[in-house]
Amino acid sequence: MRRQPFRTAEGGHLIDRTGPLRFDFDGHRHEGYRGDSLASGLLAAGVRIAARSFKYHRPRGVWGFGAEEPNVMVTAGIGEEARPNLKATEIPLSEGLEASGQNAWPSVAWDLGGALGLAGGILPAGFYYKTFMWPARWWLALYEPLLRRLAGFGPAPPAPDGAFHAKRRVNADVLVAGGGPAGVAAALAAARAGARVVLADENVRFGGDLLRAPGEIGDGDGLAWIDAATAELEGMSRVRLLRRATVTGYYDHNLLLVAERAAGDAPPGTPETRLWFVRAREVVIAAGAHERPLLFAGNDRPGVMSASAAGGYAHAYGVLAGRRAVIAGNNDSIYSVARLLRSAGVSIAAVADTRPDSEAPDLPCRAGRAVERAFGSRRVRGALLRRTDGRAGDRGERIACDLVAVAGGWSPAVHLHAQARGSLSYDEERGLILPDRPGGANRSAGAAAGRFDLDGCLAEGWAAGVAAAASSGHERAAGEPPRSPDRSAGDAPVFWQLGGGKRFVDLQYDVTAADVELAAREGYRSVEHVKRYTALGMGTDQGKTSGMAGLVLLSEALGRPVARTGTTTFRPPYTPVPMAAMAAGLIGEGQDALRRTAADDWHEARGAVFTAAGHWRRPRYYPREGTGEDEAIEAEVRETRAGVGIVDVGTLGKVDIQGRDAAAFLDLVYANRMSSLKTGRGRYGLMLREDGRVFDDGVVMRLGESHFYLTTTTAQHHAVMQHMEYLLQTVWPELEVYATDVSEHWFAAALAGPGSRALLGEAAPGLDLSDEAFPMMAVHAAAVADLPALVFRMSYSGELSYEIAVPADYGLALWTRLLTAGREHGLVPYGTDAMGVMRLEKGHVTHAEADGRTTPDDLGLGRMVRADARSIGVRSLALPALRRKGRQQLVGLSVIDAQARIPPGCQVAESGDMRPAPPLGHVTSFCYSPTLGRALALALVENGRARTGQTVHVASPVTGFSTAAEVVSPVFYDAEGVRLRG
Amino acid sequence: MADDATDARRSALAGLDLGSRAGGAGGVLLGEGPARESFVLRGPVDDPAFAQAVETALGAGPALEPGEARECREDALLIRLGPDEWRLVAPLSDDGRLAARLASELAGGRGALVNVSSASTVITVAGEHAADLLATGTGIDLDPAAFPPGRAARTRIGNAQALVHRRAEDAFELHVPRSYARSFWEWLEERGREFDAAVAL
Repeated sequence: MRRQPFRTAEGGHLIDRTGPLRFDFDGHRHEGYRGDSLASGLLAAGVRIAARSFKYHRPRGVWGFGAEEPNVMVTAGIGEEARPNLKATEIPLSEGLEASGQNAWPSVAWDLGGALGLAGGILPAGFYYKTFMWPARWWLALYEPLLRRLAGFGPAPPAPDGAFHAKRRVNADVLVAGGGPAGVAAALAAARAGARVVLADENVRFGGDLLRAPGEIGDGDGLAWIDAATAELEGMSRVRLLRRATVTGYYDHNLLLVAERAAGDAPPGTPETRLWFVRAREVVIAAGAHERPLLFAGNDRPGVMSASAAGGYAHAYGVLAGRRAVIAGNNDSIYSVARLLRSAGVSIAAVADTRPDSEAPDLPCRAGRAVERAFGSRRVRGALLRRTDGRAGDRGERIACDLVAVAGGWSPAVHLHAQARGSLSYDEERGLILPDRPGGANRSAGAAAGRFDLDGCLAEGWAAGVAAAASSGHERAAGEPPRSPDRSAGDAPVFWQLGGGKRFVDLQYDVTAADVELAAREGYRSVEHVKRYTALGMGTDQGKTSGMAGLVLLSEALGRPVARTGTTTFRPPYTPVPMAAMAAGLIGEGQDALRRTAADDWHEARGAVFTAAGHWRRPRYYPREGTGEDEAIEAEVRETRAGVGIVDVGTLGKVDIQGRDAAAFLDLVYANRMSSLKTGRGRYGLMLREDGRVFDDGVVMRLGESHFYLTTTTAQHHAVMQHMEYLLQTVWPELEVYATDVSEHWFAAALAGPGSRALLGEAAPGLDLSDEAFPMMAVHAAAVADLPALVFRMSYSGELSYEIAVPADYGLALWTRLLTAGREHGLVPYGTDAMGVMRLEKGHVTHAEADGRTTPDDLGLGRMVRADARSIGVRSLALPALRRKGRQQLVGLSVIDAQARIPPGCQVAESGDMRPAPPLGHVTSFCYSPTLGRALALALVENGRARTGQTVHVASPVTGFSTAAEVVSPVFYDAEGVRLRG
Repeated sequence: MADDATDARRSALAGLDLGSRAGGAGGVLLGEGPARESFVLRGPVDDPAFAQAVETALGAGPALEPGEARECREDALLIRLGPDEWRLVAPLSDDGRLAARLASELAGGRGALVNVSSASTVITVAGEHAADLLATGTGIDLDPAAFPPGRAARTRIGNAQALVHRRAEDAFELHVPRSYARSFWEWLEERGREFDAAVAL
């Protein structure tokens, strides 16, 4: 037997017959040609059953030609390279391709699940709402495992996608979606006018419908004209041609997503997919149209297919979808398809035209007849034709055939138009849903706009190209539009079905006409509800072939016009886009931003355990040999409090403020006064939101008369910058203030502990560190470890402490030099956990306390606020809600049982008996304090300060934990601040 | 002190040891630009005294087109980033003299000059596919007609924000915030696989 029994001896403009390719389908070796799609390869090899249907596991074959294919979804590749749910019509054949059918066991040809088809009666529309309900315990034991095995499409690949997927952003004056005659004409006109054009088409070759059937443009072959136009476009530097690229999404502001697939013979290293994000000034939608099915019993049998596809396989690939064909339809295209098939070698058994008075002397024409039933189970073996006028006595004509090519008319691909929120209209007479008012800077042309004659498509495409170019500012003369002698309207009367039986509407989801009618009988009215109830149009083909039929059936069942039924919402993507393509460049090592401080290499070498702080990573603690995490953190605290520690605070936000109104500005953005600062001195500052809640805190240092340097918390740095820029640009534009983000420029480390003065004295010999020369909250520029530095005396840990800032390029040098110098001083590096313990022992607040709900007074910082201030947020503090009694206030909780530890998520309760009762408040921060030898917490507690000395309970009702604690001042340690002096 | 400080300078990309990986030819060459002095200049462009001070110190006035990068004295570059914001980039060999001159011209008047030399890492992207590589991660229009050589723009690229300066049609300099530089480089290399990216010598 010949390897490609259904391949013609010659012809097929997409294939290269010089070298056959081998490929496997479901374990069987086949042969095809370079240029084939998997679908054409399977048809050439005579494989008729290429899929099993979703619900009934009925055998299915190729129905369509391109993106509209509802039936044949396969898994291509094996193992890591397996790609499930690809349409066979869109997979380019390549040497050694291994593909397999889905939703079938052991294979699509012999599927045990096929028995379900016999039991179809128990799986009507919405069966999952009705059946498998009883007995309840059977659900987990039987129904669900069974259904999981039977349902669904291809399995998700077990391993991560190892292929490379690319992305590209591009700007264009005109994006043309679709490279058929209308699209190519539009692109050519726009490009000649001078516009920057992107032309994208889903096929390997431009031509659209001309790929499937010959046509005439000018005085010659249509495809030759397309090739010449393509060559001209190729030569223009401002034009980009994308083949195998589907425009899948139309988003706001004319951003369109184009998914490009690699060619079958692409060299290794070529990205498997490339997503193009096209920002286009104007869009021409020339997406063509999809052929509609006809509904009759057995219309899903392998061998029943779209007539234009059947013609297309012969014309483009030299492949016969059958040897003896019945062609049935409601429009003139059946005759051209019949002649095309006949010339390719198919014997034409009958051409059934639903219209009564049509004739074609050269063909076995059956006017006024349609297919009522297709015979055969594993493939079609015959068709029963019957009169469409229902005249009595018609016994029908049974015709043997192995191909039923159906032509139900065309549905314009209005998807992109509708995705852009354009409105649709229903043309009752022509039975077409057409684009109406566009929802963006776009225009539809050609078949997508309901023009089905070649001449009209060319003219409309050309005009759209000229207009789109003009709208984007390009008006050079483009010349004359191409013409075609084909001016047939191509319209079809609305005709859908004949007879009863299992008439499939949605082939992919196994939805029959009866299912739609049932939904209507059960009271479903909205087309959106019917879609969800029956699953019609919910498959990966998104109802490209089935949508219109479903709509008409529903309207008929409800007895109302189609226009009133309306359509379901068209949402992106138009065709499926692989998740791996969308994730490209966003996942995997190094793809998400990881911010490192200048000393990061040292932390890593030292084996620090990091914690994430936004995008930053910060050392949480430095593990020590022979001890656990808790011990290491406690040691860092103890050794810092007893000697000297160093911590990387390079992540803090830093802002340089200059300009003659700098001091006045800071008085307005901070709740406490900054203008009274002397040069060289600093102050803790509190920033409020407009509603009076604490926004951020930090330290403000005055470096000169109109020059300040301030710090923000790591978390709020961007928010603070934005806040200040907003105020300067819109609220007080009259102030001359320049706020510059210098966070990235400065690295900073803090030395803390009684030994810090001695160590810094050694590292900065020129700096007088006496309390007189360098008091608390003072700043000096100095050389530290021979590096140009700013030294601040301030303390977060409660110890004598200095923060040293150097330009970040010197950051690692500062860090390592201080550690070297600190060796004799017992200098210990500590991480954020030890820092957190020390700040908690001192009662300093963080965003756990300043959580967006607390006022300065709630946090015990009320005295910092100047009552007369015009500062942001201060006026709101007078609101009754913020002054009422009973607000939660910050307190310290000292756990009475020294052995107790506090788990996360604790409430503060009056009693510890776990009875449901409103809590007094909640724990905001907690730690075990190695300094005080017990667990401590900060908490926001109702009337907290008045409860000082009382016993409350720290409780976690969900874990059953409770322990007694005394309410104390939040400053647990060194309340007098003696240690700050060292 | 100056010598010690110079030795102490360390690039944010030092940990990647690019020197040992350099070589090979590809559609894109990635590299690290030389360390530079960099300053943020702010001030009222319509104040003649300010404009004069800038012009006197730099040899180029502040009234540039948005995004325009103008060569000025001492091989420095003045880039207009906003209505009242510029970036001054000077070679390290200048040792801060140009900025000092500008600061003294501005002294007593309006405007501000802030040293941000350590704030960014300069990454060079050059070669036939340089613009294509950047277009994998940024939405700005990189067409030479829209973004010609001598232009700069602040934008997001991939996982970081960058100041993109087009030096030639196929050569870009990206000023990337220092803390992001390493993971941005990793992003560039990964996306650069499409173009056989190599590390420039």
